[in-house]
Amino acid sequence: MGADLSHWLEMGGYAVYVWSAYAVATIVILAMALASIGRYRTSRRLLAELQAEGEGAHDA
Amino acid sequence: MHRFANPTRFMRLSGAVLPWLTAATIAALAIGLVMALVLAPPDYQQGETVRIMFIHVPAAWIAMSAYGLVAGASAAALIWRHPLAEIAARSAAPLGAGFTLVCLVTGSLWGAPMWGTWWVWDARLTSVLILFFLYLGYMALGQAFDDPERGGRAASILALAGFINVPIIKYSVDWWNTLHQPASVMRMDGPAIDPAILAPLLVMALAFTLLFGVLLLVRMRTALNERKIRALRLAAATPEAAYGRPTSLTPREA
Repeated sequence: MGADLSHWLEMGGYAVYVWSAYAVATIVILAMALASIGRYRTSRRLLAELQAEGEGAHDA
Repeated sequence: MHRFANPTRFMRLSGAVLPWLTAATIAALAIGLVMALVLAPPDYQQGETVRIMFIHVPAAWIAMSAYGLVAGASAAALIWRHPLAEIAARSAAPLGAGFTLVCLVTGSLWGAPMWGTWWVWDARLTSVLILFFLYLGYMALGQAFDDPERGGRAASILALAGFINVPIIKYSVDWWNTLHQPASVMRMDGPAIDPAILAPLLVMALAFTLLFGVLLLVRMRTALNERKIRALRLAAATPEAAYGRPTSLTPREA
């Protein structure tokens, strides 16, 4: 099991290239996803606040 | 088509679709990664480095088709002035740039052991680098004017003019000498690639496409929310404006 795992991690001697490629793809995709989702959440929160204010103004 | 291009309807439909699309993306990514990193056999010529292809090639496909989307939506924005078209183009561009970056870096990491070089200035690599700069130029130009409408129009024209680069990328491996291998999946006579390698490639391509779709919808929803926030603030600052344009906004759309 341990030998299998280290054999897999070695990637036939190309570990540096294969794992770097997957790491770069993961980092770029994760950065895009987190930035997009973060900005989406902020926009939802701001819009909800503004709409709550707007409704409060109508009541007054 | 125009019915779906209504912003209110878009918010409702995309909100309903998004959870399912996200679940499908996570499932496809998980299955694709196991197939790519564990189940796929090493290539008889390229050994284990073939596993880089399972991210490199789908990233390249998304990079090019996202540019097609940016150019198509820009054309629609220029011709019909539909607000959703420009929002779609603006939302897709940073994602396209990200996938182009993944394509370039993974290609370099694949080229180093297989070609003996990280980079060559041949037609394929150079045209993909130009694609990356076209995305950056489009994104910068859209924000370079004080008047956002002028900026949007200038960026849309750049996106359209830059579309000439997409067929150049596609056919560069046939038209010019290159180290890059020619197309092996999208061929007239069927894929020239072993099913054991083709299957993980297609699952990863599906996963990347779904991921792109999810992030595109999230970014478009964000842009529509932000547009409504600007309208509400404007209405709050100038009371008379409240009876103008912003009345078309329904309050419970978020």
